[in-house]
Amino acid sequence: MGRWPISSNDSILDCNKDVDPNPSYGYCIAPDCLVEGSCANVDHDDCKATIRCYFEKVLWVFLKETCRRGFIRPVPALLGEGESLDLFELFMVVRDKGGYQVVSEKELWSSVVVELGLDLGLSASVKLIYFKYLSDLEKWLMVRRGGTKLENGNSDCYYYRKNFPCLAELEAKIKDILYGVLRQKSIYDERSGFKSNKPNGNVNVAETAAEKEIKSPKIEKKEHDLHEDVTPIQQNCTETPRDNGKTNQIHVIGDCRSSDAVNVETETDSHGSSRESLFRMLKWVRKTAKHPANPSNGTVPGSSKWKAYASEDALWLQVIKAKDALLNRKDVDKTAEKRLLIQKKVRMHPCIYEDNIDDNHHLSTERICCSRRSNALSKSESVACNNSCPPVQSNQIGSLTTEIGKGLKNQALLNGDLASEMEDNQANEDSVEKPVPVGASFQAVLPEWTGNISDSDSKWLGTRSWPSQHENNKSVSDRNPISRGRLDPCSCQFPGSVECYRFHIAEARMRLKLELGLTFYDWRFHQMGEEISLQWTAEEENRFKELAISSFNNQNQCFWNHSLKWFPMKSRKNLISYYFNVFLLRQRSYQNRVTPNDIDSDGEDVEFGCISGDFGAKAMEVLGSKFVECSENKQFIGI
Amino acid sequence: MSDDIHGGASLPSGPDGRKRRVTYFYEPTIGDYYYGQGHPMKPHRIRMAHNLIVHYGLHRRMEINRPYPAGPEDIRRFHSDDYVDFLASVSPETLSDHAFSRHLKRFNVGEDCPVFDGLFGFCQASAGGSIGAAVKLNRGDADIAINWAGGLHHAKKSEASGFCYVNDIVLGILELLKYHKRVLYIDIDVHHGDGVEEAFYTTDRVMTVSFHKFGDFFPGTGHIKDVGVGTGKNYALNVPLNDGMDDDSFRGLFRPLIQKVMEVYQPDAVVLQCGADSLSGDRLGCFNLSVKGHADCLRFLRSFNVPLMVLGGGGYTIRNVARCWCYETAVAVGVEPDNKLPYNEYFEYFGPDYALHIEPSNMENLNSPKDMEKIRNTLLEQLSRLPHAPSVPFQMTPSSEIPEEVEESIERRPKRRIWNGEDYDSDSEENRKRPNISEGTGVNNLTRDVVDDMEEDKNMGHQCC
Repeated sequence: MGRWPISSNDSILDCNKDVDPNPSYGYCIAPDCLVEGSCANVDHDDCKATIRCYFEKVLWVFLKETCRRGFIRPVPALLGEGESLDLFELFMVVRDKGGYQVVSEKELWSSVVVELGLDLGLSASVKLIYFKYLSDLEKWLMVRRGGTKLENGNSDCYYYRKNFPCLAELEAKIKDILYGVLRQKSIYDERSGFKSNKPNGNVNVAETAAEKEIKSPKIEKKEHDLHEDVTPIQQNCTETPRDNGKTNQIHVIGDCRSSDAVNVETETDSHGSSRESLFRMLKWVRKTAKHPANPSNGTVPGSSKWKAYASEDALWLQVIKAKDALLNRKDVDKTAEKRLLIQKKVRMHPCIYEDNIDDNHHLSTERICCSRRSNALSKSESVACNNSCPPVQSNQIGSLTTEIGKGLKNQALLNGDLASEMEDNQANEDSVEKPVPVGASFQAVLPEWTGNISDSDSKWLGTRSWPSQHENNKSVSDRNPISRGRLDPCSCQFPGSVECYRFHIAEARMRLKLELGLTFYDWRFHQMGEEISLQWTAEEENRFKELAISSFNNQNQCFWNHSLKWFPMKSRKNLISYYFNVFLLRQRSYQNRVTPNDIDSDGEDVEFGCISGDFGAKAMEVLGSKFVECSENKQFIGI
Repeated sequence: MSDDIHGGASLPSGPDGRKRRVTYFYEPTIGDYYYGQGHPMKPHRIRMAHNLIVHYGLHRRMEINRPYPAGPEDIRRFHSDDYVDFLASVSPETLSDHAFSRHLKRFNVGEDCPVFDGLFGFCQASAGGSIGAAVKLNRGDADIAINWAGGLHHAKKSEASGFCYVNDIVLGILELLKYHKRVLYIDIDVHHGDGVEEAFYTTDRVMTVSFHKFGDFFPGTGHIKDVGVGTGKNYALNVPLNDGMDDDSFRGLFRPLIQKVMEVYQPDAVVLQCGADSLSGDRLGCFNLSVKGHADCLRFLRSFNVPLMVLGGGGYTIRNVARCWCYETAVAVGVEPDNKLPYNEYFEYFGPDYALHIEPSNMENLNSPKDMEKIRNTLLEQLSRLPHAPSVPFQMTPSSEIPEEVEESIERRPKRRIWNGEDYDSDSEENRKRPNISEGTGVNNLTRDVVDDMEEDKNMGHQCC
């Protein structure tokens, strides 16, 4: 999940809950609605929540786009004192006042701030945030609005589409919202079709579409599919009349990034028809429940004869399938989860890490952003699918279950059948698992057993570094027996202090160096530990510390590339080495003494503190040993 | 427990105290590789472990080699050509080239498995170490070969996965198979050893045993019912566990199961993946093992006197990884290190107690004794269906022609049968009460299914014969 800012995540959920399956509601979510506030004929709260959701999706795409161009916009947007600003509210308020241009010209920012319930002093930062986060979006919406009124060839419109290729994707997402509910339905149909082995037309289509989504996320294929799929969407989508050619063009511009979007579209083609049959079915169920004896309901044959009706489109058959699907519901959720795992959409590492944003290699940034976005979208899709829609389901189909239940009970249909079916479903739940793939492209090719060691190339023995070919100082190793730990207590003035430990570590290093001889360098002990800070000036160390604190607190910043700019004399390797060998050690040394119950050597966003000075000259002073000084300083500087 | 902590399954005829010749592979630049900001996989931990090992003086009991980097052609012994070409040539700078970018998704490179500076060098070092360890064992130069940079068990034939790019374990086992008829792979990483299992899923020359957290956890595979197919049927063993696994529960499964496996399968060499993310307090794991409990697996295996390859793996709380692998190195060379860590360059990492061992947390163990017993019985049942020591079908070489090293290893290795004797430890007692399986309502379909499956299999086997 981690991709979506939490605030927007919540609202998306809200929003989807609020989407009524009734299509007349659904269509209020049009981009123009944002600009003109033209949803007068719909319940206001519903619409607002929907718009908020839509708005946040749009904004998110925009911000990603901005980020891709090298400007980072952390979400949620923070005001001076670290409080977050509701961008949607801000946008709505400014929109009511006529937009950024107007508000700025008329100097209305202070009233915007007041309307948002914020301190007046913040108007400058609010304006700045609006400019940074929302002005592009506003422009786009204005143009879109103009674009729908003008001809398709509008050059401005084209400009924005070209520059924000994700909008194509976005539009697909809108459709995703619109049809999310129905898509769920089709997935359930898929299950029921699967279960009963007698898919009717709709189910079949839905099934293949879903299978496609799961099994072949190949972009080329999708793009091919796209041509056929656009049409039905266009028909449904009366708010945005465009010709097919145009849409395709946009998708081509969006290229690989819109794979998810295309995905969505591939599925939607079955919705138009399945929606209709859903309503017919629901109607039948209602009727049957109210008037079980009504002959116009038709008769439902015994379960043994169901197979014979496989090809028929009878309503009772659909209801039974729906029932199957609902009973399977837990199963479906589990399956979906498993599939996700299998698809490796779920990553091994659940934390967010922003390691790949790479200013230095701008192109690669773009690429990664791209792959991330599609990932994030698929995540959001799964959010919509797994989290938000089940509530919709339970509202809509939950009542359906009871109705089906009533209806069927009234007709005394159930008897033992249901019970046995439920058992089946239970068993199914357990058996959902991923088979281990078998075939030449998965298994290793085993070498023949020769029993002859000459087959093993001796190059693999590598280079022996111990026992060393160099001269070793045996006397040292004799003095320090194997597996012995440190000797406590020591005779230092402040045992356990940073200086005490530094002294003993330096001692241990000396001993080791004597024992290992050149192997000490072979194993790169000279590049281990705090001593590598001797290659750094105090100023550099301070700068590193400051940079590290600010970047690690701000997840969006990429520390390493940032710091490379600040340390032109250091390579990336130097910086990383410093990080592990000095910075983290000092951080840990602070934690050990100040927050011993809260230690962390692995997170990179923890609070940093330092109780000791630099290791360099000052530490040497403390050690005060001529012997140590000469052996350490001289040898390590300049390596 | 303290009584037999050094005991293992050692035999009267071959006391465990005997020294083993240990070879240890270490690539000195390994700690410089860096997966990226915030990435939990930190090769630095291997350097930390090495540092501790040397400060304890353990190197004096080992031969330490710098691995020969595995070349693309060596890695192709398992991995597909295009995947290896991709790994060998991709870099953060060239990532955006069309030639590479179009493969990212196919090879699952980019998220868990980012392209970082020196990626291929890292893979080469890791794989080179494990192949080197195998060659060391093949030549009989060592009884135990260690490569903490290895153990990257998720990598697939043409796909990276779970921070793993090149499956050094598979490459190492392939090398072992040149000279050993049967290799046993044991995986105590908290994650399922899916890459290795998959690679040898259809053969009986490698038996894979994985102990892992199962259920809503990466990588999602490793169901108890996944037992292998074809010739490999029943030669994959999966031990699905739940959160909070502690030393005693783990030992209660590990020892009897491995005991049985050793008895039945009689491997010529064993590979142990020591992923340290099964330790208590791991950043990504959810078990509650202490360093001692973790190392007990190695201690137990060592006692069998079979050529043993010891590899690293996961482990994301790096201070504990270093502790664990250092202690396991000590177990391998047969010494018991002081709990007070010696002063070393990374001393502060180990504060505030600066001790070698870690205390398990008080987290709840969600593995009930009943579950454990059920799993143990199910798997012992599966094992009992195996023919004793499957043959290598097409090899007609009589054993007398085996070069002298084997003579030595046979001499070194007492007959396994002896363990069938009175010397069973308490865990095994429970095994004898296998009829418990039908106790109460606790028997789930799962257990039964497996048993049924195997019954079927057995029957089929008879038909075939």
